[in-house]
Amino acid sequence: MKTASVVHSSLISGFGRVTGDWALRDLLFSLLLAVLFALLAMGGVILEAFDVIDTKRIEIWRNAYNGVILVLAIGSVGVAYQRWCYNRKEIERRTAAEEDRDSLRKQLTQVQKMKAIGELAGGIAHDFNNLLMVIDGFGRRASANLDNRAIQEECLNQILSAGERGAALTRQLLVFSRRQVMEKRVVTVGRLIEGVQGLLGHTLPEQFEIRFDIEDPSHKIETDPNEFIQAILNLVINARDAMTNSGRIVISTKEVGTDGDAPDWIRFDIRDTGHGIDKATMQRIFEPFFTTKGRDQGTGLGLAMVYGFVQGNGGRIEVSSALGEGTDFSLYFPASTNTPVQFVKTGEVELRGKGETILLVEDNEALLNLVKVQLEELGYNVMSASGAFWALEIDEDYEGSIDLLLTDVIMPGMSGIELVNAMAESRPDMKAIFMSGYTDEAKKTGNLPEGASFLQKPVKFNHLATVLREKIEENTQCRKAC
Amino acid sequence: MSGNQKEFGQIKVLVVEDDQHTTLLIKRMLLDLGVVNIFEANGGPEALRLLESLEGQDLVNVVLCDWKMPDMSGLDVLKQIRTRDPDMPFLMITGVADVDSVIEAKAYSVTGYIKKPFSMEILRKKLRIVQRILDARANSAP
Repeated sequence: MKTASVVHSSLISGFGRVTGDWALRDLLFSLLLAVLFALLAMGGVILEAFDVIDTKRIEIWRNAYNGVILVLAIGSVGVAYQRWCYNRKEIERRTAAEEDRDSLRKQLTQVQKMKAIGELAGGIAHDFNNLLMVIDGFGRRASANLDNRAIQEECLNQILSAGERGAALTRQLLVFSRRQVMEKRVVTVGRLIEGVQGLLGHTLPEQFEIRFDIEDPSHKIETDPNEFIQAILNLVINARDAMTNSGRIVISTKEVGTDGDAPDWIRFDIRDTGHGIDKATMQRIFEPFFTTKGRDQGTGLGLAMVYGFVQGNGGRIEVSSALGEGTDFSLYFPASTNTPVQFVKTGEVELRGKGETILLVEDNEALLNLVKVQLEELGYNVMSASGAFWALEIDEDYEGSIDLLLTDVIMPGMSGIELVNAMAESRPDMKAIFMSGYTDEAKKTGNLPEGASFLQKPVKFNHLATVLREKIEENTQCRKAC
Repeated sequence: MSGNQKEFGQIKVLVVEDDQHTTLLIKRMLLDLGVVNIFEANGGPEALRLLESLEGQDLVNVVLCDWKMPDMSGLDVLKQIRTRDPDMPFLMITGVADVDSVIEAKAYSVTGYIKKPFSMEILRKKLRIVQRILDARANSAP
């Protein structure tokens, strides 16, 4: 896309320059003619004044002189007219050619877009069909073997595992499409690299060497640490796969550009000594579902996810590669000057509820029932509503206190954010948690409120339990949508 | 009365009901609750024609619609309204509704239900909720 826009702008500027040159040339031509006429006229006067011309023959001279000027004038006008016609035709021709090129470019973009959508849809359908087949197959096997506990356990494990793979797939798609809600916070480079190091131990076999070259661990960026680690992990896995038996991966950080004391950008480089990427592949590496690995080895979403993640952080990504020598991915993130936040040790939170009352609002009936059962299992008193209207009915009717509102964000008629705000007056002490898989609508209606707790669907049971406890035990009372 | 007028001052109702007596009763109840902007339609087709003629004039902001009507069911009215206004609060007035119909109405984003027969208090509560939805929407508008 970048290349296309560069080509486009150069064509336009080139076209402008050519027409500008013509105008200048025609002006100079006219000036030259004017000077020539002036010289000729002055020449005649001078010759007469100094009696260089024989007075007897002056009439003949004058007639011949006027004749020459007339011929020259007519010739000049003819040439100028011809130039003007030529210029006009050339401009028309070039405008038409430019329009044709523009139309072709649009058609090409459209074709490429349709191809990308086709590949995306095909990829999603393929991967989800596999998951659905597993879920359906093992579900049927379990229902046919209700008396065999061992088979049932095996089937349930397979179904749960397929569910997790599906969740991971949608998560990657959402990051790529930049619709995933990122839990951004200010973190130091050192902290991020620690997280990466913690995970890499499980990913890289011993024959691969990994080095870290960190310029300054105190540099800070604003990002979602989990997504960051996932992105680096994707790049490291690709680097590992690009090296056959052994090789070296270097992860380095460097500040780029300075504005006063603080750097403008922090660059993370992931370099490998693998086989490199050829030109044709390079043009497609960030396309979703494009993979050079076998069908069972890669989904083709790894680099698409990295691309979406970096873009979502206001950063940019550069790739350089030499065949047989290796590849370097450079990820640029805007440097932050804010204070890093402390990580909450969620493991210390008691996960079970203590009989608090939760109002659950979700317009998907199946999901509503599932989360309701989960909340009840955790020991909460649950009131459920399948939409904002029903939630407000409960708000009107229920005289007891509601400790927490757990609501979907996008619902027909009234969003979760509007619902929380509508209940702020009647339930000033009620806390709120939003859950959704998609927040464009929330962003349109004025963003999730500052400090709002958010659960990304699909929500794992333990994560749900943890976030609920953390929210309920928070000291701050939220008056409006937090 | 004055308190009601203030409470439901922004409510502009279209009552869709094929039975004249029921329409009259609902209108009386609405007037007693302080709702002064009331339109009525004797069935679904008339309601849709009326909404079409009023389009863009902001004269109706909630529909109270009977479920069972001879020419066109409340569900069909809801479906048609949703094609042009996905957010219009739509309260379905029901006697007895089967589960499938309720599920289908939910799929077309029915806002809520009012069970027949209903008292003034029930109607007041439903309108109060509609008012809260309209207020929340107005507050969050850019």
